[in-house]
Amino acid sequence: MRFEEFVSARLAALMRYAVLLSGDREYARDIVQEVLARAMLRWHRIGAMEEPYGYVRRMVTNEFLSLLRRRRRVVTVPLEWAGEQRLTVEARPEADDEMWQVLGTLPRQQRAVIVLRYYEGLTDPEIAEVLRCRPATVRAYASRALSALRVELAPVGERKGVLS
Amino acid sequence: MNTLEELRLTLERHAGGPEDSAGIAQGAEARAGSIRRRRRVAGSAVAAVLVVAAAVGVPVAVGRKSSEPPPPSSVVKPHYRDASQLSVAMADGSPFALTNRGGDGVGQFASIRNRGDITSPRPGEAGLNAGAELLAYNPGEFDPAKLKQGEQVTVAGHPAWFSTALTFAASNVVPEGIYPTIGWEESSGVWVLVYTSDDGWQGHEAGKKAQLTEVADDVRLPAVTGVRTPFQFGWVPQGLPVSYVSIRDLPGIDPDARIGFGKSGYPTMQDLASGWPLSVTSTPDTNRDWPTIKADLGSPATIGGRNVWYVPRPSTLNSSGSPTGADLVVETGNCLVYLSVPERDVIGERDLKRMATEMTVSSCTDAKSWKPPVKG
Repeated sequence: MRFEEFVSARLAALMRYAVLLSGDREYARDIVQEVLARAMLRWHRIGAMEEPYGYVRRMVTNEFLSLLRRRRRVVTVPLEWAGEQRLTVEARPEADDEMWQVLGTLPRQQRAVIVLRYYEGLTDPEIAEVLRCRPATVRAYASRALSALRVELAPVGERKGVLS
Repeated sequence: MNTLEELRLTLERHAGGPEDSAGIAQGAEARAGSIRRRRRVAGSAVAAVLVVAAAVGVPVAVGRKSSEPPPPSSVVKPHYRDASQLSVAMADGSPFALTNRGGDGVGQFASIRNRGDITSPRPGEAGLNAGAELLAYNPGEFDPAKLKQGEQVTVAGHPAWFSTALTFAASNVVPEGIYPTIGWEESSGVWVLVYTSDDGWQGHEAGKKAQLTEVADDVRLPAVTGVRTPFQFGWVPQGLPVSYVSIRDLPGIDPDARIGFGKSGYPTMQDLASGWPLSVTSTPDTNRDWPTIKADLGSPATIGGRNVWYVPRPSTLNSSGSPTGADLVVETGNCLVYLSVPERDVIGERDLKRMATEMTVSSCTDAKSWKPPVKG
């Protein structure tokens, strides 16, 4: 698959994923743009993979989780941007969406697990691979996040396909 | 209680639409081009490390306008400041403040912001002059020919020029582009550029000129002073000198400090994590993700009673730095200090741990307690 074909087919999905991770559209654009730039430079290898989307999604996740990257951004963004980010929750029309607000307060790893599990539909072992941790750690993150979100788990039978 | 179905619907609702993707592919392409150019300039990171000893003291052209050739080598460059010294300040009583400042062997940079916005819960809404960015080139490091083709204006009583035709080369300090700029030469020979990299200035040049002039009027360059950081090292591998500093020490803003040691493989005023043979960053430990990250790092080693983690890359701690590098995290007092190297085979775990052993750290949040980064 050529890089242009990948972008054409997958950019929207990557953006949706990054928006859910970061809770901020501008930040999400920043992350996806940086990741795509780096992916483009290595496309001869990434494009030859069986599932390039999975690899690039992992790059997006790592970019979002990278502690040092976050510090760098804080220093370089214009003041207006910092303000915009701070106001994201209260200025949004969906500000009454309590669950979205709580999602925004979760530690990043927990938020990533929730998005990967319930939006991207990954299994816990797959999430563990993305986050480079053990499946047990994924389950612990999910448990803490769902507790904070006050989500009641459905009976085991109904969860098949998500946790299997 | 909520249900999983409600959680899924919440995620679907907030995932954004196709309009969010507009322009990203083009931006990625431009960014990739920028990375390629940097790599061409830099060569490999290993090569950058190998030339450190030979290159220290020979500054490369940086942040300098890409459209302008460097000054002829015969130009005399009188010594003005070391890389670890800064001189940019704002006039007493100015409505503007420096939220971030730093520099390297070629010049200084700073972000200038309106104090009203800094203290406002909704910055930008009051319609204040938001501020600008600043570059101040050491004597002999900037060719003003292109700038002087612009409109002659007056800043703080001295001649200056306003231009909308200067091309800025890409760096982590200056996004690539053409920006409205006011520039002038100080009596020291330093060239100061005050510019805005905001989009949407085209068609509003007069307004931007007025805003930049208001900011530039308050810029001062008093005597140079040595930078101070929360950390101070008694030993640095290979005796690498401080070659880059970036400081946030304005009360009311989360403070932090970043120092680069040795010659960067990239043009100056660029990012440290991948360009310097060694860099150190300190931040307060108030990041809400730190407990989670800490848990992932596993059991720490202990150096001088402090928790220390040596983390080879790639890692979730640092995904974008060189994959052959490493980071040493030190948890101390209210500070997190990161010692980062792009090549762990060149500066390794033992070196970083020795640095941590011979490091003193004061309060990360009280800039008055900060000291020079290397013990004199």
